[in-house]
Amino acid sequence: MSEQPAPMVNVAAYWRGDFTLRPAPPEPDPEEPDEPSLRRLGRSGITVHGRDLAVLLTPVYEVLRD
Amino acid sequence: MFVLHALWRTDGQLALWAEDARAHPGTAEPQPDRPAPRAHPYACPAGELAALLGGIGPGLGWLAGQAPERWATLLLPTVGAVPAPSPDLPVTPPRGGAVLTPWRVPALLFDAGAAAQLLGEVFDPHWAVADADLPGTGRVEVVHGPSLRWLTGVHDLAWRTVGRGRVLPRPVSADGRPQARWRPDPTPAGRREAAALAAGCPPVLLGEWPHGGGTGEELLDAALGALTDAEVRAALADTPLAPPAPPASPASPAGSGAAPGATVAERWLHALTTPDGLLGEVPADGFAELRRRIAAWYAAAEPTDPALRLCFRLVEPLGPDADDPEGRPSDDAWRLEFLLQAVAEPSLLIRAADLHEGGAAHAALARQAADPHDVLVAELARAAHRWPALDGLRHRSRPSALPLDRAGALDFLRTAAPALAEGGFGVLLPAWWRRRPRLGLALRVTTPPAPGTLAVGSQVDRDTVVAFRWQAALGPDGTPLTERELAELAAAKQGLVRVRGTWLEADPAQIAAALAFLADRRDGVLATADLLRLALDPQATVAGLPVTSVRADGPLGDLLAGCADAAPADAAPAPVLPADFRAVLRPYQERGLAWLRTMSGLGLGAVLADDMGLGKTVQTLALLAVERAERAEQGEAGEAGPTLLVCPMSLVGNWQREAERFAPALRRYVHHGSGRLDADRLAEAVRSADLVITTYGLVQRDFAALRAIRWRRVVADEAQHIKNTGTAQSRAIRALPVTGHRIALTGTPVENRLSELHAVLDFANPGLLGPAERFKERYAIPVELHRSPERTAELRRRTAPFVLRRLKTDPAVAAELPAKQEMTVWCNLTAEQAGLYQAVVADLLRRVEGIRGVERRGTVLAAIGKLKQVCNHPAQLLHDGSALGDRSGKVARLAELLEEALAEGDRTLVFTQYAEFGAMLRPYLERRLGEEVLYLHGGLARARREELVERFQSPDGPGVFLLSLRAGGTGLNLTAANQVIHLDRWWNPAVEEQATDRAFRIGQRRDVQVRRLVCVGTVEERIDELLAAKRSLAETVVGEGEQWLTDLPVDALRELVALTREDAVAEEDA
Repeated sequence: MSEQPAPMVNVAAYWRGDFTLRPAPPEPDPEEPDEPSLRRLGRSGITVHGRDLAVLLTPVYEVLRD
Repeated sequence: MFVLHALWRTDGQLALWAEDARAHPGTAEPQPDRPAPRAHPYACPAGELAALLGGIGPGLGWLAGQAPERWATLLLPTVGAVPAPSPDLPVTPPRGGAVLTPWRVPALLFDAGAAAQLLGEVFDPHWAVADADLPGTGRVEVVHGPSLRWLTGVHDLAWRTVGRGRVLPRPVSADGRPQARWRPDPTPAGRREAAALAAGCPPVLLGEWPHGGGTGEELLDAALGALTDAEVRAALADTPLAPPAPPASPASPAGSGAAPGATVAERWLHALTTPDGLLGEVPADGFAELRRRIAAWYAAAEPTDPALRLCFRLVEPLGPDADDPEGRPSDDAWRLEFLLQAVAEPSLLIRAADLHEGGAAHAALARQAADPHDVLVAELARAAHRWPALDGLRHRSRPSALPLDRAGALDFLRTAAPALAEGGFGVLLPAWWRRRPRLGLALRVTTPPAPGTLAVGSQVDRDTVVAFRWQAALGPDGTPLTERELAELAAAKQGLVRVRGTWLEADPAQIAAALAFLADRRDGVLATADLLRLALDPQATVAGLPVTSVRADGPLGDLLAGCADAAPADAAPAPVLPADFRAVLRPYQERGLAWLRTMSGLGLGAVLADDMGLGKTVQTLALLAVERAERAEQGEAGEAGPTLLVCPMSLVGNWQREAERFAPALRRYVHHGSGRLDADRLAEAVRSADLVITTYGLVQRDFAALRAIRWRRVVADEAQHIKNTGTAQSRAIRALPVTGHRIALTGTPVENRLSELHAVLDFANPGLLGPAERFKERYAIPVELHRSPERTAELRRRTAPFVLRRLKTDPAVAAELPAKQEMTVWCNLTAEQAGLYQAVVADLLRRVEGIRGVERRGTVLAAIGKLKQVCNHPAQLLHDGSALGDRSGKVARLAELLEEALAEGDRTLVFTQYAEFGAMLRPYLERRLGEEVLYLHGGLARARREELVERFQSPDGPGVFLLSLRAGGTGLNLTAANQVIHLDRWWNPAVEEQATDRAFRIGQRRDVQVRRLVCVGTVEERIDELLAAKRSLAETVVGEGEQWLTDLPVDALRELVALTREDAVAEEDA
């Protein structure tokens, strides 16, 4: 019983793939709401030292978008 | 010249390596063949690579200086024994076909944080070439290979995602270690970009050897996740998320850097900004709970677009499996289809696959939301918080379905479906899952039984032994399984299994229990009573398995199937009636008698719920007559004890008369009236009785006396009287000691609520349906409020053996009934009526002694008229306008009959010869029945009469039409009625016949029941006897009126009018 020969591969396609880098950071789509993920969430019900997680995380999002 | 390449390794690190054109061997001879993977012959040494990076810029140089040097192994196109150069390397490629072979390359490794910096540094969307000063060489060109550029693109997306705050922190467990990670939550545009990158990923990035081989989506997800997490941490380096520290606790876990004594949530929060994101040691259950709560929080986020709802539909394996030689469907080819539904228009439900194809499906959804594709993808991401298996679709541009194997399908059914439904997503489950077919045991009872056991004949009793055989069975229908099917089920052990085309979740413990039970106790014999216990308990289990069905043949099978009224050929033969029983039962009554006999033999309570007029009384009397005859044959050795018949006061006379008429051999005793016996004498009096008649009121009042007697049977007539289980009357009748069984007679087992059925059945078979509260929860609410077909069917199944109900409209019954059914209804007088009656009689007899001729005739006629008025109601005689109240046995019986008729949807004509009485009755009946009662009499103008007739004849007309015999007895067409009641006797039957024919005439589509109300022991009864015995003679002799009565001699007159029987009076006040 002979071993199956390895399949041939297209060398250029193997290295290159098929993608395009964006020339510049795209502007936010005006149709798309520009809001951090946290804003779509309500209170979590999870508290740390009496404060809801949603409250505790709010400054993080301010820093990220700053 | 160098070409830089990158590899995102499965360990989450970036490996950077380079090809060096100077080292390329060109067309030189291949190296000696060595075992793979071999070192790449022209890869740049790691140290030189670090120098090269430093030559591009100081930032890269610094990062390279921190990076460890390691070998990375990856699959590269290979021609002959040499790796093919990447297209950007300026060398002559070898000729020949290339195959993938693993090669080892020297690489610099960067963790996620360093990788993020490096990729950000080299990102250039315009140029793929940089210059570098290489020590000892000078300026060289460095090309950024596609693998590196692709990763810079992924990093760029991560960086922008973080900058827009589109990230969510999640507790994750990696390598068994609890961690806090930031996950990307891209905008729709970000998702599209990610999907495009995933689709265009250079295959070389997937070539890590031997652990690679994933998809572009998986690689993108891993790299984007890690780079996002790194960028957030970099941004938050100066913003620790450390809440105020709690007091120190000696028991606090160590290793995370969090405050001592911190909770799991607190430690997780802290780890969101630490470099490694590790929580250290935390309780596993606490961490799992945090994950659950965080997922629930995210899943509860507002829907992406409130106009559209994401739905999931599990599709079973369909079509032949290509790998199956016989072309059978694969059991592992499940699919979870995604669909979008318009919230405002739920019937608009579009498969994602159709949506992606565009056209009408897309257009329909596009009217609801700007971009349905984006909604689909975003909602899938939201759903992934509920069911992480959907995570893998995060970067697919056009997701339409998720392939699942059996385990995945079961996980979806058991855990994901409820979670997704709770989150507001639509979930369409296969019908078999909603029914959840379970493995159970089916019992098959066969007759005749096994040799050596008693045969089951026409009569079944509780001691009869029957042969049985158990079989494994599936589902609520108890479909028996063959041994081969059970073996296949056992072989499957667990998970989803297809048996007879039906899927079910195999439970190994249940399968093992069934196999063990059947191996040991498959066949045998058992007593009928034990069989019934199994059959009638819906919660019955054997060896821990539910009893899914009990099937039997013969009368027992009919009983269990609730088919007691089956065709005569299938039903148990009716017992032979004794010769002295003076009625010929109709075939359906014979079947009713056989059923009552069977129930009695089994000791099971029976609810005979035939429509009014179908003969519940005669069937009950026939049962007692048969039993008495049997006991006589056995020389009193049979089961003894009287039957106690409990009925409303107004029916005592009727029972007496019917018993006398049909079953004269029955020894009767009536416990009723002011002269009734005390406890001791009652016990003595009923000792030899077959039938004891009493009232509901007296069961409560004389409970102590009645409780002291061992009743063979208690029969509750008009059993709706005990539907309120809270009343003292109802409690009393239930508490009477019964050695045999109970019978409830009612024409309306359910008047208003199902709880009434429970009350009646609970009287007949105490405890059978469980407590009232549980019945309400299991049946009353689901059936009455939710119209649950399953619970309705279950209730019918459970009650059918105990309830025999025939309607007069049943074709089989109707065929056995005459088109016009005439009945005498016996009524009692109240004490007030009896007193007035006797006073009128005494006055008459005193006055007729000395008078003759016209005066005598006038006196007699007037007195008889007064007696008939008394029989109707005292107020009619007294003309005092007093309230009707409970002063007349006849009026009480009339009201009961009308209530029953209305409950059955019948419409009734009520005739009286006294217009005054009709005027008194109408308001009383309207109050009592709660319905409008029409009244037609001679005082109405013709137009008004026609209007009344028209109203009654209309389909939604009133149910009761009161008419004076003179005004309404002729000429009218009242075929809307199928019940006729003659309140008082008209001596000429032809007049009654004419009145009856208002309903029983051309145009009548139903059978008509005619009732004549007759007061027991009064002149009404005597005239009735006379008319019944000499009907034809009466028609000729009696003529038009009552003249013939006036010439009777005094003795005959006394005999005619005297109140002759004690039992004529129904009075419980004493």
